[in-house]
Amino acid sequence: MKKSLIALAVAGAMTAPMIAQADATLYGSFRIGLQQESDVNGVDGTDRELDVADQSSRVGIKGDVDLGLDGTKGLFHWEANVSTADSNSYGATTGSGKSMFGERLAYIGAKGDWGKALIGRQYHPHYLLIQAPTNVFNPSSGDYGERFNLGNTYHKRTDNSIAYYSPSMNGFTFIAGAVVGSSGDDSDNAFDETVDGYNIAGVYTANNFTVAASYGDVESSDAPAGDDSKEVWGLSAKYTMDALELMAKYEEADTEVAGANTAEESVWELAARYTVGDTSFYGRYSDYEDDVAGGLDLDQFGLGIQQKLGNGRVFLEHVNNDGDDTQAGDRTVAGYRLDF
Amino acid sequence: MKAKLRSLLVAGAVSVMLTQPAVAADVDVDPWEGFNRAMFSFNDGLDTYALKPVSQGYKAVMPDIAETGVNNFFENLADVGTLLNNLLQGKFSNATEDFARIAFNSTFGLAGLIDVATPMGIEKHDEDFGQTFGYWGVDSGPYLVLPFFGPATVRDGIGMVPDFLVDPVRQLDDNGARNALYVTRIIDGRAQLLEAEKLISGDKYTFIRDAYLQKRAFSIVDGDGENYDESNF
Repeated sequence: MKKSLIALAVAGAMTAPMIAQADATLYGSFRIGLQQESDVNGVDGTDRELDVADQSSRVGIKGDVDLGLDGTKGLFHWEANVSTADSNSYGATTGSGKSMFGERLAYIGAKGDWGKALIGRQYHPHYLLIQAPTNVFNPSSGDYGERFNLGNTYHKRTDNSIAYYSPSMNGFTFIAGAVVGSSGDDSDNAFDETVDGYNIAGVYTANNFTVAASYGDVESSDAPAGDDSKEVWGLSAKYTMDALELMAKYEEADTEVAGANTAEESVWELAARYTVGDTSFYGRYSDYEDDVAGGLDLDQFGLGIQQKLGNGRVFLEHVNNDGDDTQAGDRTVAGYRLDF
Repeated sequence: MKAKLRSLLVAGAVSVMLTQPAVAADVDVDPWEGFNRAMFSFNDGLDTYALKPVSQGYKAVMPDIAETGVNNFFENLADVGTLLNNLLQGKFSNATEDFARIAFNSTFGLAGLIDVATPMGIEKHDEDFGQTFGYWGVDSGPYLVLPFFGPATVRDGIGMVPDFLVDPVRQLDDNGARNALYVTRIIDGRAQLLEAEKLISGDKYTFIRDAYLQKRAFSIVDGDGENYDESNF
């Protein structure tokens, strides 16, 4: 007892000056689940035994910094995936590049009554406004089938990004951003032009209703044969009626590789969540079409139930992918999550 | 097929009778008292010489933790019927909690042996078809003591049929396992009552009848209706 008191006092004495210096918040969300998969990676009949698996755990540090200006503050934000269940899950699959951390966010910026400007590796508005609302499950969207989120390539958390967020104007906010990247030379299939991509988006919130729209285009490589590019646009809506929340999104994307059209995809998704006290019951249905790849048409549905326990929660989730899907199978997770 | 049709017709006729307005007051809840007392003494004899001694033996032999586990297991199965009846009564909030209870108790609670949902704050509800019929406005009809099954009303007795049909234990294919579960459930249920029955005083038949009818009236309105008066106890 005495020992722990002394330890507390020492810890208190050491941390107090640090808090005064930097107004930073350490936060995180640890999510581990017991997971069962069938038709792993879309291969029929390939089942995986029960596995303790990480469900997109992350830690981060964020805070404000005094710039000596009236009404404008600096801000910083860093966030990384932490692999809780398996060592070295992120980074290279072999060798010294393996890591327990996965990159998520790293950006700085400034904010005031004029809005917010950010620079660094950050969420693109397409992800925040179009894809996030229907993402009702606890693991990351990629864990339940990457193909249903058309913006995940180039328009989720992207390096070399600059963005401006307007303040809310009678419920309306717009966001404009650009990707400004460069690599070693002009012919290596990487971001090379001065402005390599952009994303513009708007969101309107009134009473219990939110609607959003987004358009983005990213190019990489200006090889002689033609550009690699991805153009994506989407709409989303969310409506809240007491205990029931309804969410919907529609996305379209055109992908070009070396100037040739390789995919013309569209996705629509409906999600609902019903909450009674600390208990939530939720579900999602998604439909994917690609007009180029031989008219591919796939769907997915998922159901989940979650109980909040203070800052923790337990959840049970099942996602069922189309039998024809060659990327993702079916997955059931019994998970435990702690937020701090 | 014919037999099924006939039983449907009978059930239909009985339920039509039940929807007639009740003319009688409290005094008339038990017009079939003679028959009921006969059935009651049959059940009571069966209980005194068979079920109660077995349940007492069960309680004496089983460690408390195992006894709780068995009870939790059957309570988890009972939540399935409660969920269905909450849906039929349009109580979607309660149904969501029932679903959460079953989901978490069946997984984190190791197939229902541990009731993790209650400490997690997910309320337990208790619904059956008799209550659903009552919620829909079907009158209870006269008090009725069924051989083997004990106290009921005509409405609740009819409700036992769909209760039986949706019972998860019934879905088991293996006869041996299914019967073992039925027997264990009966013993567990009886063992749960051993403490409560010490409260019984006066005429046992009247005491159980009144307690049963009051509990049903209480359950149908989930304990907050106008026709529930605590001072009646």
